[in-house]
Amino acid sequence: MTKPRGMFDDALLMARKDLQLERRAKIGLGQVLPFAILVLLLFAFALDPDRGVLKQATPGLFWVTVLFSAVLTLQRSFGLESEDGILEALRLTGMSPAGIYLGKVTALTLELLLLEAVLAVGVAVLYDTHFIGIPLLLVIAFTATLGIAGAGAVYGALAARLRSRETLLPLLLLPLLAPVLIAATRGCEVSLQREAMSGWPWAALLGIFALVYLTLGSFLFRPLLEDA
Amino acid sequence: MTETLCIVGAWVVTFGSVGSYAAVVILRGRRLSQTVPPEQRRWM
Amino acid sequence: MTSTKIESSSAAAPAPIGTGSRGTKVLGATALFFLVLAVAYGLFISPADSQLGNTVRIIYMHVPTVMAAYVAFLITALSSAMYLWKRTEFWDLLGSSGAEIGVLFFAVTIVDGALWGKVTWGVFWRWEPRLTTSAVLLIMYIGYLAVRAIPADPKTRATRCAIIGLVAVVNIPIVHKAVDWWRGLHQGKTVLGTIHPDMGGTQLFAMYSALIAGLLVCAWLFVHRFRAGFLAERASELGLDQALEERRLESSPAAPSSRGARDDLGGPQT
Repeated sequence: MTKPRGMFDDALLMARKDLQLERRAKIGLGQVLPFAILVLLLFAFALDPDRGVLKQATPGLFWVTVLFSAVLTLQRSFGLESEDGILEALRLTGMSPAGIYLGKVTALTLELLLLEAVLAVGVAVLYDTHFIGIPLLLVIAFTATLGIAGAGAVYGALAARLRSRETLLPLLLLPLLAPVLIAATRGCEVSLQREAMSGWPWAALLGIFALVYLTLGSFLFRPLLEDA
Repeated sequence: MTETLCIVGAWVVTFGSVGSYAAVVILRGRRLSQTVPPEQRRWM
Repeated sequence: MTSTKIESSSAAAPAPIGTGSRGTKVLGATALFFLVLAVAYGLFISPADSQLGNTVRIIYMHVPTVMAAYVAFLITALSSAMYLWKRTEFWDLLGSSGAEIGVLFFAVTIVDGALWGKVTWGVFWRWEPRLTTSAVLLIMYIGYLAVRAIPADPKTRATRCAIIGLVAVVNIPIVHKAVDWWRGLHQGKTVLGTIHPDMGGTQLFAMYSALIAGLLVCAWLFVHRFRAGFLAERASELGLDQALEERRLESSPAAPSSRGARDDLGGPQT
């Protein structure tokens, strides 16, 4: 017969399903990405490109945009599930909750990384950013995104079944992600040589955040699916 | 002048908020215990 | 329906009205005693500080409230973990009480800190590590309370809140570290760098009285809030039982069948 499926097999299955859904619906591409670019434009309108504030604030504005886009992506990702009762169905199939969680996190991370890549191009073009210290930037982007997805998946699933999810998800998630915003922004500032210190401690903090929430989320997803 | 105002203000806010909360909780407890039969009123 | 262990140790005594008891009266009286001491020494008897001047009198309250808030949030954290393990109503009630009391004391802490800042720095707010971390923490726990307020099955609500409680508490050291590193670059006089070892005599006495008073008040509030929460659960159970009973009576064979139980369970649940 079929050999028993492990957590990582479930995760892979889940990630593939999510990514396929995204490829077909193209919400990320068609809606969240334009929204993100729009936010970059709005910042330019608000902060006036000629005064130099925009250039100075680029890392922060970039990550704030990513956070807002992440909230939208999460709401979409879990909104689908709850509408069709898919989360309940998944639970009944006997898939390991940790596997479902990790699968969702994987898909989210990939989607967000793609978004960030395009946004990076946007920022280079619109805000005239020159990318220096690329290794640090990449590590920061990866760890920060992993943390955002890891923490976001927990609250995304929790908020999915609430009527007021549109207002509750940002309220719950964004304070939680404050250290990610701080660390990612400071790290990027260092990388773009705007600060004279090492950026790797910030990357380490982001790594710890990601690790902590991925672990916590894996344990919390069972009670979350069953009771919350 | 601002100094005294802030100091007094801090004490007023602290005592006021905690006191109001205490009053709300106690009054709520009284109101609820009247709707619940006596043997169910306490956890212990 | 969670089972509740009710000991009828006071079966012979008259049924209690409200959440008070001899225990809370003793606790409350002791707290009041220390409060009076704290007010007397804090506001009047102790002298102005050598470094802080009269603003130290705000610190006499700022420290107790932040300690009480930490204790409350710690209890919420432990209760959240215990609830996810044991699934008993006790831990849920304890955790939610802690979140509410913690938010109260924490908000007061921030206001006190802002007023202290107005006098010392001239501004209500400065992005110094403690205040910044506090702001983030406060909003996290307000989120906890927001989810708590959503009408839901007790088990569902308890699980949701326990998850939030755990996720939030784990974040505290991380936020602390991030903000410290960040704002540590722009070091200024922090609010809590104000408890210096030169504080002696009546000042120290005022500080300790206030601290003991704060913790006692916190404990006292906990008991009342826990009991009030317990009563609320019993009342809503009764209300539900009553509604079901009414429905049952309505849907006798002769009468047309009625709709169903109250639709106050929030969210698009299956």
